[in-house]
Amino acid sequence: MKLKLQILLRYMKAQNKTLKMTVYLSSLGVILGVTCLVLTMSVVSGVQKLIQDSITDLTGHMLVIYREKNFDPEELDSKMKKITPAYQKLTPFISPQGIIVNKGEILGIVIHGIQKSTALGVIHPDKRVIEGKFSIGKKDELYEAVVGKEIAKKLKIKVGDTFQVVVPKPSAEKIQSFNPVVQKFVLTGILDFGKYDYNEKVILTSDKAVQTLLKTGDEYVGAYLKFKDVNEVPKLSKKVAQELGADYRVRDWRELNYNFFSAVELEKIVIFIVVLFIVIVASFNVSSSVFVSVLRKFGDISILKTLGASPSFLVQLFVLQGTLMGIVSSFLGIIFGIILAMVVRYTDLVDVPGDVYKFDHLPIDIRIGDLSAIFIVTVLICFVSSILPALRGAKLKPVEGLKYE
Amino acid sequence: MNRLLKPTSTLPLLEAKGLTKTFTQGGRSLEILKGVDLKVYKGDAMCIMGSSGAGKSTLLQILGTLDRPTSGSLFFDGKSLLDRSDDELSSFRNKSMGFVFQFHHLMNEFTALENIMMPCQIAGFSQKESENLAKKLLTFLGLSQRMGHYPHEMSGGEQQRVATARALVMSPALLLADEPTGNLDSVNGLKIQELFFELKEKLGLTLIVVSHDRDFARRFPKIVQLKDGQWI
Repeated sequence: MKLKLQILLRYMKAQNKTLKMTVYLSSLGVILGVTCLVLTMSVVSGVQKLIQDSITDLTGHMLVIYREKNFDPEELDSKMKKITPAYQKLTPFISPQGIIVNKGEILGIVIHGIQKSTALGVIHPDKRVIEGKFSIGKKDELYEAVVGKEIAKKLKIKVGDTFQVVVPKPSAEKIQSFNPVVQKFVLTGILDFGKYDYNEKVILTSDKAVQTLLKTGDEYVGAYLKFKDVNEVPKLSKKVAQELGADYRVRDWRELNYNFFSAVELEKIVIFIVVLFIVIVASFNVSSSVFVSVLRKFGDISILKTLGASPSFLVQLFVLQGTLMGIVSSFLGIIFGIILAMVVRYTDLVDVPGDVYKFDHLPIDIRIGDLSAIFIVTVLICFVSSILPALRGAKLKPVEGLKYE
Repeated sequence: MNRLLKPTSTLPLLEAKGLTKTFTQGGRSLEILKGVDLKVYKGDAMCIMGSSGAGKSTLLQILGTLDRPTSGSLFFDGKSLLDRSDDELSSFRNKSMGFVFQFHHLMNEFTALENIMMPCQIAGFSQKESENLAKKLLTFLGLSQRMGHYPHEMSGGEQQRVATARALVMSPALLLADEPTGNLDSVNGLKIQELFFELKEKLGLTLIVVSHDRDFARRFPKIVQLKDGQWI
């Protein structure tokens, strides 16, 4: 391989400008294809990550709801520790649905009552504050709350304003009746969850506020759980559900938006294949570039054959040329793709309507796995595309090449 | 180069039986070789002569396994060559045959030393081993000052001597040359002739040379003439 590489590098160095241009232009096609692939995969992965973060920042890596009354967080904690070492900690919650009322506007919402002392070790709504601060204590006898930015926008409420929440509490006497209970809150912060339906539905406050509102003492309905590796959680949830038994309902972050994640994963494969066609088309240029080399070096091919170079030596020599072009082009394409992805991330180059999509800015997540797949597939395509001209080169009879100087 | 010093045997080093070669051109069949037989023994020096188009170069390339005949058989040391695969023949050429052509056919991107090292590297020798062999040969041919020179920096005679060194670096049993002096002036042509016979004497080389040059041919103990693809 060392000799083949030496021969190739010497040929490349000695090429005239016109031929070098042929190689550069052929490589440019591959570079552009790889750049497009990196950018599209980064966006798709970014969408995945954005929704994943939105979910885990609000409901943790896994959501466990106790189907019966009197949920005991400590009991669940000890059970989880026995089930898997990947489990870290939990925070209990209570989350009734209700409506929010302000200045004649009404919106359906979900109130997340979280335990102030443990919540921020498991979930991270505090990272999502865009206005005000994350505070869910009590101020002047009023419970504090933070809301998604769409709620604030639709109800025209600002930090420091008060608003009322009405929760239908099931009647103890009549099975199909409920009694509305009302609580007044003071807004301390506006959050951007990065997910449109969260932004227009979620209110976060303390567990005490919700328990007071519902008059349920210190009762919780379930807990948000944190694990060592968020990406491993979907694989664990089946086991956790089985071990915990029927009294618990277990949903990991992926299940909470199952259709979305399944669709995105499928779309990612389809987009990868579609954009890969740019690389496949560009690989024809690599193929013709190798072919030009074969024709130009016909004399040398002949002489190498007389010196004992086997057909397989020559095939490897020219396949190596195509593969090297693939390696260099992929590498440059990945660099350009990352730069372009950074530009998209840090400049609002693309405006996404948040009410149409579940997010309102183009997210970027550059994953080593995506880059590796792009690199391997591109190099493989260039490798395959150089086989045909390399085979032709190896088949050339030395007789003609040795006739003239 | 020890292989060349082995005692000669009665078995021909190279034997061709009934070699024919037919080309099809524009739907017409063109018979270049018409049943050529040949026996070359170890240490022989043979010159193949003939007019242009007689089939000399085609025969030499078939003898050198660079081309396959339409029919006939070819043996080296009693073993058939034509039933071997292309890869096996390449390895055989690398180890057992050296070629010199009318044009030097050196690789322009490589220095004299690197050109000579090429067959060794193809055979899988280490860089150091290849370099040592090539340097030894360059010194033997009086080209030690030209090691780092590229082909275009050398004269025609020097280029042909480097090409000869490259043909000999693997210590082949047989050296095949196609008009080796055809592209040189008379002085350099004479120097190459001298070199060939010097090598034959010193290394016990077996020579098959195709040449138009009658003066060169007269120096060979064995001269054969080819006309219209047949011996005359």
